[in-house]
Amino acid sequence: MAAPQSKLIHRHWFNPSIAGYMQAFTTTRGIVALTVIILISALAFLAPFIFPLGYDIQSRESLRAPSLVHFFGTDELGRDLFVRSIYGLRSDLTLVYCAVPVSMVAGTLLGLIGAVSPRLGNFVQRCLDIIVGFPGLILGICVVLVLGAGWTALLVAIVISGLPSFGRLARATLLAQQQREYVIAARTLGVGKWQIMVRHILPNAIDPIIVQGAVFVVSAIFIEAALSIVGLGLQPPEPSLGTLLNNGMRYVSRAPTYVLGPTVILILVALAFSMLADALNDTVNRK
Amino acid sequence: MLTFLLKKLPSVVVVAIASSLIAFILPRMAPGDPAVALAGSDASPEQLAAVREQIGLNGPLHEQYFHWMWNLLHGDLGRSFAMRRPVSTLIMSRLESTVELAALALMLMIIIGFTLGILSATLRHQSARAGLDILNTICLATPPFLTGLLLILLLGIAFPILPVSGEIGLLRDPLKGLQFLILPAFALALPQAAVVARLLTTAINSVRGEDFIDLAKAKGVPPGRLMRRHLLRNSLGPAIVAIGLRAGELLGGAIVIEAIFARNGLGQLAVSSVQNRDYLVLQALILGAVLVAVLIQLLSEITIAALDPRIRLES
Amino acid sequence: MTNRILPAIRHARPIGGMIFWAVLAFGLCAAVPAKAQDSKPVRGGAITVSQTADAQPRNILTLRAGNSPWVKNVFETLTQTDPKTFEVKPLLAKSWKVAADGLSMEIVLRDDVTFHTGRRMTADDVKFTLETMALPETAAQVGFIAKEFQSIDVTSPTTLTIKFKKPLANIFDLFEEANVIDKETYTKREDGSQVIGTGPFKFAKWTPGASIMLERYTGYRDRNLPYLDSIEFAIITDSTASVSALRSGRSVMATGLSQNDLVEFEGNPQYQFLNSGGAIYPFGVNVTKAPFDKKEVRQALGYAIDRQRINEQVFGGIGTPTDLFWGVGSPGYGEEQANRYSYDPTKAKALIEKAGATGAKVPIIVPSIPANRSIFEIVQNNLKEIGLAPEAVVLDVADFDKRQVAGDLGPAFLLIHGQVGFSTATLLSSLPSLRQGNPSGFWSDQYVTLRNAVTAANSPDATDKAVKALSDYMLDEAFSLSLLQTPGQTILSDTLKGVKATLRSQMLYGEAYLAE
Repeated sequence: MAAPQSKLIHRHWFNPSIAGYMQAFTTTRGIVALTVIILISALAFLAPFIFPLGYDIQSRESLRAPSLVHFFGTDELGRDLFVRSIYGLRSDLTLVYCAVPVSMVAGTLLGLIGAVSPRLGNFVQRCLDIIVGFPGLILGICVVLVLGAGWTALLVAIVISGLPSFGRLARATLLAQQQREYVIAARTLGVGKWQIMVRHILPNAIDPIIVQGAVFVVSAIFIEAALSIVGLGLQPPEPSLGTLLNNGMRYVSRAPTYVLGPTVILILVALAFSMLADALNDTVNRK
Repeated sequence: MLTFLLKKLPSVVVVAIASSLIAFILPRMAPGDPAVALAGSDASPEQLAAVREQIGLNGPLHEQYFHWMWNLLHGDLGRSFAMRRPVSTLIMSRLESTVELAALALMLMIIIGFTLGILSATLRHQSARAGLDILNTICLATPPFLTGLLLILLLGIAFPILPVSGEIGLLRDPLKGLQFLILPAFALALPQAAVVARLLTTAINSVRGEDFIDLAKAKGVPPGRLMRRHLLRNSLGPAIVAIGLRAGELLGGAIVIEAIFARNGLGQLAVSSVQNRDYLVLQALILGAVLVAVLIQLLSEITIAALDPRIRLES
Repeated sequence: MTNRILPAIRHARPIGGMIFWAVLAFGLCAAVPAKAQDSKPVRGGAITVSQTADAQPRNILTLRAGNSPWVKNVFETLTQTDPKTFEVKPLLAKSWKVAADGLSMEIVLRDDVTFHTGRRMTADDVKFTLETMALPETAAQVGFIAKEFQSIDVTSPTTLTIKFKKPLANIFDLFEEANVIDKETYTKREDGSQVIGTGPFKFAKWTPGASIMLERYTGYRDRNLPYLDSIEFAIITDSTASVSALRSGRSVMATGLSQNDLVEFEGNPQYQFLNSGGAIYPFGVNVTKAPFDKKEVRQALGYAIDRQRINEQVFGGIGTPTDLFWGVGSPGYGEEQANRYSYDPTKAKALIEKAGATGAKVPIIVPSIPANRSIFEIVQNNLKEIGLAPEAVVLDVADFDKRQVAGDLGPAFLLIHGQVGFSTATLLSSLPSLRQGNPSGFWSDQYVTLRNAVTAANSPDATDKAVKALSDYMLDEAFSLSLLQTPGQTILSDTLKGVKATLRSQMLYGEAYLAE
């Protein structure tokens, strides 16, 4: 059992890791994932320049099938669904890029806090248990009701609901690593608690957390979608993938193509992020 | 293990008290009023005040809280404002539906998740792996309500093989009950199974790089045994954590699934009690759900310890 | 027997179903040589009906979405208005006579009516019912009419005399909602344990949030009725799920669905629609808040909104775009007035510019109901066209309702009132948009005078004149504009015959039966 430990000791947070993660983008998978993510992000965030007329051009042409003029067809108010999907993607990516990193970092730190003070760690873990126990949608609804529907409420709801999964994964690593000889050795050698956490435990926790991060990108979009089912997502007429999916569901038998566009985009986003996670993961494991 | 559980007891109590406070305060912070659900949107302010008076909503908050806690300790969960029945009766009448749905979904989640996870970790063929990956991601990225609706359209209406609306308790008629249960449980389990599969694959792949696996291979351990005894056993930790987490999320996911399959479970009760600001029902549900999640968490810690002797429960 | 099996056929697999049909057809041929297309009512059978809101046995005397599908089968009223001819017909009352001065009314009751407990209904029960209607905790929409009673005198077990404080033109609106309750069991209704009425069906069981079970009342005064043995009302809150229940054959009728969900059934011969009652969708503004303190701005809103497009794209064209709140075709409903504000964005824009309100921010409160959200999308688009800057404030229904009751909805708001079918005199006091303490903050001496004229009108001609004068004033002030009225549509399978609806979309199954 000597070799893996020495390997793990080497993988601390700073120099070798960053370079190591960069290696991910030399694999096919990594390149494809990164390209797709950059492309969809560019398309989403440049939407105001590509479609300067905006997402709210209404007409009497309701629920048209896809055509060369309207790639995804039109919605019930005659608006172009392709344009709305791109703007919707923009809303969701904004939410995801803001909320997921915050949730990831905060959750991981909360999970690892047990390395510094076991009591505090236990306490934090119990707090996270409360969040997990809260029936998912109910927590979101309560947060949105208290804060009022809109961007802030969605961001807060997403960050909070991500905390327990990151926290628990970090803690699982912590529990597993704490008993390992090298950590005990480091402790006997007088290495500080913070240092042990940052230099030894954190690097080991990173892998599952990055995978979870990619998974959570999709969950975050689902949270947004679920809250828009109850009408508490973004405020109309601003589109989001969740709102489009929900509205599309209402017309699924009359205009089956309505729901198709947003679904394809959602799956594309999810594919890209999980491929990215895999690429990072492969690289990490190969080192 | 007993000492472990005893040691955990105080923290469980703390969690229970903290969550009772949150469950009490959070719904009351949201604007709205349980009396409105009874008086209706057309009521005049005078009528609303009379209804409030009648259902006993007036009184300071802390008094209401301690009153609730006192009754709770005596096994009385109170009475629903909107439905005018004891909360415990309401919850008991919904419990079976949700427990059956969650249990079957959990089983499906483990079976599908492990199958997919192990397959994609063992398949040597690059294109087969990529195919599985894409399948997995599509499962992950399709919202349960969409999966549910597609299943309803396909198996309930186009080819009416299975019932898609309503429910029959398994205790009353196991065979029929299962017919009603299978589609919603599947729709609920699919995305969760994809998460489990993904985490399992990742874990197996990272264990595979460790030296003892090379050693086992060198010793000539056959692939099947290598997977069961060495790889899987050492990769289960994260998967079990994930299953523990997911099990807690099943109730949350059940809310949407229950709605589209017209099942009357706890999820629907929770939603209607939020909409009606039926505080006492909501409080009991939140508190119950948190306690169940804590139990699942303890259970998964015990399981991980049983699998990995290096982790001592007493830590 | 066969009619019990019929709904189950749709559950069966195609082949099994075909064999069943063949056997059934053979059996029918052998037994009944010639069968008329529109069959005669048959006794027996159980049906399932879906509804979107839960029952509220507490609120027997108020108009509630969760009670409308079943309440009129358990309870009956003194009178019932024919939804087509608007003629008031006797039900529990045998006859009535209003005094010449309009200040009192004598009512003679039927003598063969029993409650489901077996006790005979008497004039005391009717008195108790009308008194309970007036209590504030009953929260009845039309309770204010009962408050205008001077006294109720029971003169014999089957006769009573009501004295009014002033002539009441809308007394039948009260009677129509006053479900006669059993005074001995009324307090035990709340948890559904004893919901006792005189109707053709007994309230057998309520599983909150899940279902309501009605069973045939064998002691009903008409021995032939009802035809059905039992009705289960399944509470299915999700509209997609209601549609699935109907299409998969679990239910034979779906109440409370939105127009959106019904469009796909149009032209399908297996289903039919039943229209009754409905909803009014007004757009109101607060006249005390800028920029709506200026009359031109309020009028501009009237011209800015494309009602026709709302009707087509949100309601599939079944609604009636109208500026008025009154029942379409009711006394005093003027076609010219109904279309006073036609879509004219240029004119609207000019009015806004004249008032100097261009660019004004307009937060609009919208309840989180799909139809209202869709209406908002069109309204905000229309308002942007004329140079205003609208923004949505979507509130969940509980929050919204509380603020509507308090009359505190901010500068602008899109509402929904499910009170189509009441008379104009009643609507003036029962509609939150129009009553005293309305969220528009509008109340003036002239408004009061014109309102009183409508309430006091005691002949069709007088009503017509009074309502038209009031409409003119309201349209000019434009504090709350009705956008459109939509009928309530209920869908049922063609196997279910004889279902009727009241003026306010409450379902009647007394004469319903399953066709063979």
